[in-house]
Amino acid sequence: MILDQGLLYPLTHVSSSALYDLGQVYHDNTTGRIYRYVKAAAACATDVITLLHAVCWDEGGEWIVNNDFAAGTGLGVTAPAGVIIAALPEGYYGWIQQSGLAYCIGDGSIAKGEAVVLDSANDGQLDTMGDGEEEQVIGAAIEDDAPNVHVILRGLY
Amino acid sequence: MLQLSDLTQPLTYYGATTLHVLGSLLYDEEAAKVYRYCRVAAAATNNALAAGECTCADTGGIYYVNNDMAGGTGLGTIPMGVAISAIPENYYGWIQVGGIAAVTITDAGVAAGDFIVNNTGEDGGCDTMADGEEEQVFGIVVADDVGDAADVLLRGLY
Repeated sequence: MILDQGLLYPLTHVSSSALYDLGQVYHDNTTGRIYRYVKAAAACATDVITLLHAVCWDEGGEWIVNNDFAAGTGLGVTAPAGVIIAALPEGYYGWIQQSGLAYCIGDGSIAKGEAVVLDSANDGQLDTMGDGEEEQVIGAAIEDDAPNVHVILRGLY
Repeated sequence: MLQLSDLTQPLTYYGATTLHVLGSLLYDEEAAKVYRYCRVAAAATNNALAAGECTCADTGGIYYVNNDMAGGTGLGTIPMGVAISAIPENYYGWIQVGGIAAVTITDAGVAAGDFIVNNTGEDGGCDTMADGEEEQVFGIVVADDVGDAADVLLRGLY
C-alpha cells in the first residue's frame, strides 16, 4: 500500500495523466478508510462523475470506472467498484473509496441498517438490496437516506 | 494500515478513552490477521464483549459494536468482526476483521466450508447462512465446530 508520505497530492486531487500505477491502494491511518487509484471511463453517464456517486467497473480496461450502470461501457450493478470522493472527469485519474464509512447518494428509500447495492435505474446512486441481489451488496447504511446516506463499505477491497 | 510496532499497548488492551482513531485498521503481518479499532456499545449482553464472540454494528455510532444481536441497539444482520478479548461497555479496543478467527459461540451445527452469518437468535453467536442471508456472510468455516467453537476465515469485513 502507498503510505502517507508517498502521496504527491491530496487524496481528492484528479489529473489528466496518471500520478501512480492504476490499481494502487492507499490506507488512511487517520480514518481507517481504504482508497484505490482509478481512471474514469471515456464515456460516463455525466461528463464528469459527480462527487458521492457510486461507480462500477468498466469494460475499457483494468481499474477503469463508470457511473453508467445501465448502458454504455459500464459493467453495471454486478461489478461495483467504490465511491467517488472528488468530481472525476471522463478520462481523468483519481482516488475512489472502497472501505470504511462513505458518503453516497441513495434513491430516497434506503433505511438504516439495510444492505445496499448500485441502483440499476439511477446512474451513480444506491438502492436497497432486493432478493437475488445479495452478491451485489457494497455495504450497509447506517442511517435513512435523505437522499444522501452514510454507508459502511464492505467487500470492495 | 497500522502495524503492531505502532501500538503503545498490547493488541488486547482496552481503555475508556481512545488510543487510536475509531475505525483504524491494523495488520499483524506475522499472524496474517487484520483488526479494527472499535467502541463497545453502551448496552452489550453481559455488559461486555468476550473473546470469540461475534459482533454486529450498533445504532450508537460508526464503529460502535455490540454482541446483542436481537435486541437493544445492535444491528444483528450487519457483521463487524470477532472479539479477541473482553471489552466492557463504552470501552475501546481491537476486534478481528481479517484472517482466521476463533469464534466461541456457534449453534453447534456449523460444518467445514459453511458460509456463516451472525446468529440473531443467540447473542455473540454465529450460524450457517440460510437462503436469503447471503449478504450477511462474513466468513467461511475452516473445520466443523467442536462444541460451540470453530475457526472461521473472515471475509468482507473491511
